[in-house]
Amino acid sequence: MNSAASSMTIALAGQPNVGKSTVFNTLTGLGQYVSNWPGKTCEQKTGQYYYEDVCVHVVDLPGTYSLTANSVEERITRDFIINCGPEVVVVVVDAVSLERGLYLVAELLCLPVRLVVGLNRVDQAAQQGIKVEAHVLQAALGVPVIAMTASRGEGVEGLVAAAVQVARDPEAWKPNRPGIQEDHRPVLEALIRLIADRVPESYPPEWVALKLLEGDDEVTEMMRSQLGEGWAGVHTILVQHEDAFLAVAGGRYEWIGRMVRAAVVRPKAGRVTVTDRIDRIATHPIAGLLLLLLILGGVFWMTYIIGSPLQAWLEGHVVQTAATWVRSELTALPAALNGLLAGGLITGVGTVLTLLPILIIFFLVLGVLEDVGYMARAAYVMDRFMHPMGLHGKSFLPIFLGFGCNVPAIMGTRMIEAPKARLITILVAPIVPCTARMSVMALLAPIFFGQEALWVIWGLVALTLLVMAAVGVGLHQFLLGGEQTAFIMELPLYQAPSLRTIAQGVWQRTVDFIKGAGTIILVVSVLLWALSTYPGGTIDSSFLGWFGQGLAPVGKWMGLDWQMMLALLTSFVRKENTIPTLAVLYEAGGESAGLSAALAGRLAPAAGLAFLAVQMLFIPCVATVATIRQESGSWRWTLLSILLLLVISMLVGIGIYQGAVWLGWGMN
Amino acid sequence: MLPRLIALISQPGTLTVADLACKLDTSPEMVSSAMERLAAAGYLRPVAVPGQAGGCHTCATDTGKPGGLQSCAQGCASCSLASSCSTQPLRAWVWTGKPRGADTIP
Repeated sequence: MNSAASSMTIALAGQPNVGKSTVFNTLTGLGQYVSNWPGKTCEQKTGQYYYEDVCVHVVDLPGTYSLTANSVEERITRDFIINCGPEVVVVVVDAVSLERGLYLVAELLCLPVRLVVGLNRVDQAAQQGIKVEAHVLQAALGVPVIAMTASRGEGVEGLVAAAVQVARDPEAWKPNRPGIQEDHRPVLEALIRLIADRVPESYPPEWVALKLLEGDDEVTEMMRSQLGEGWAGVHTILVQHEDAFLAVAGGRYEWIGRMVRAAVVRPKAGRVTVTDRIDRIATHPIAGLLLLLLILGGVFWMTYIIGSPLQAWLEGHVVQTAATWVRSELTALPAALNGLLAGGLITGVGTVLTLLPILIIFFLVLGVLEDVGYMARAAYVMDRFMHPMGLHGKSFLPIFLGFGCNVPAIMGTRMIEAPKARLITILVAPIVPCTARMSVMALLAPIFFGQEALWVIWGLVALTLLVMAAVGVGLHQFLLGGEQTAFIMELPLYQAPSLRTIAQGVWQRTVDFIKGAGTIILVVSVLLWALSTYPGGTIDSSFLGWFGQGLAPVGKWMGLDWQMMLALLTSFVRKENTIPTLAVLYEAGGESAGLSAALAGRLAPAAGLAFLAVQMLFIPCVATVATIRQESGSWRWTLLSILLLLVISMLVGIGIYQGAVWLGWGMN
Repeated sequence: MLPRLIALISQPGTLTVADLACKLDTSPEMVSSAMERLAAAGYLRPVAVPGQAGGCHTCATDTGKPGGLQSCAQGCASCSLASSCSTQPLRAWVWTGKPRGADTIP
């Protein structure tokens, strides 16, 4: 102490959120002084507390996980302890997660400062069945350990009493310090011999040597300037032992393990939490997968069984009504303007509008699953299926949602952290057959194949999924580095969902979608309307029609005429556009019965199969392309996605038709 | 414990902290603490995502910085949805296998 029992300085150290500030506020009350640490923007709190006849100056150090110079807070903490030399450092640790707090204690024990450990939240630990025996921990550490519940003020005065006692009787303080792992002890000793004479006065040589082995940048720079030419020898040792951090940290964790085994009693096997009970199923390799399929089926059901009627209602009662009104009521407008409004703008805006029910429900359901903590379990269970594509389990959910609509599937990739994995998922998700494509299949397959249609559709879905897997593996191996990495997750506890959190997230993402993709969809829809109208006023005599006829040579390889090729092109706006396009071009009046009659006999089964296969694998719709651009942030990858699917679909279509020709199948 | 932990997490695959704790016969808190230290040393890259609908974009990219967990929390402070974000962020790490290399020692 500074003088005979008159004043002393205590520094409060500890990790963030362990109750250190609560201890500080309890001790200092309204007598706090708040400023900034010298030269830093980090807040400094000091105060005073009187214990018996001692004036205790209390300094609240920033919350830190360790004493390595990775952050301003860590630098402030160790600089204060080393250079200002408080009489005692009180380390507050959380009894619920003692292992974490003891790492900081292990580091502090290497400094020339006396410690007292404040074991906080013993009440919460007891609620979880964790019993930390403070007296046993004290004996093991060789450092006073005071059990506390700082939020209720319990044990705080005892903490100060212990600190004062330690300051009064330094000889009685005999800590059990951690050491470096034995295989690296000679390295540490050699380093200490090299630096001992040149270490600045307030720094312990052993601590400096440990920090050099850990790779602490600030200490490294300090010693390099101190040693000058003598640095070469130190440099050689550090280069030869660049993994010495593991020996230093390993020694500390061995020490922590001994402390915890001695002093901590955890719940018996029969006493498990709600999270543990649920996770016995949710993370089980088989039961977890079945649960996931059940939940995802529910997600799919809610998103599209509830969303689809809303979507159909919006399309029929809002979009169509608006378009019909424009056509019938705004006849005073020039025909071109009337057509632009009804067929271009309203159709374009309507596309955005009809997607909203599906998107909102998806975000809502997904938000609930995220907030309760289930999504982490889903990712863990699906991981084994994602690895060959270089993806982790979190990629599965966006891909699965592609079965409904590719747009929310691609937007869902936002939950994927790794940039390459996210990009692969964005490029692979559009291959998943969406409901729009499936609706075209459901209408056309019976026309071409009658009662065999169901097998044809199943076969096409299987083919699509195989292509998706092949593309994923190919991207992973050849284009995006092929790296396989380990992925470690800390599963959160389950909790009740926060409606406010979910509602805000849904709102934010809905607004994002409308602003981003909607703008592009609107522009492209207007463009396509113009191309399919001008110059001749009909689709046959339009630019699009001429273009379609230019595709006839390509179509011949698949047994398709230019009308079928054009129907593929118009599916770029919306996949369902294939149907009315075929109806118009074959003059079927747009009715399915009429279309059946119009198409019946027009295509050989082999050509029909080729057309359906191309339809399934063709470039995604404009909404999906817009979302790819939005989420990838790159026109290069967006165009690659389009080109990739264009090439794959053409090759598959040509392969199917030419293979059938070669086998003599399906030509009649 | 640390060498055995590194042997487990350096292999491709997904593991949970609970899995690792079971394999190492230690507590999940010990494993979490070790993961934080390995991340600070560059062996792991923290990729923390707050538990929110669709995933928070601000923190959805990995921090890639030493002491990444503290930097991640600071990144959340700048997010417009931080005040309503779930209090249970999903913490995850990716193995880099790249400690401070000899070429970075001055």
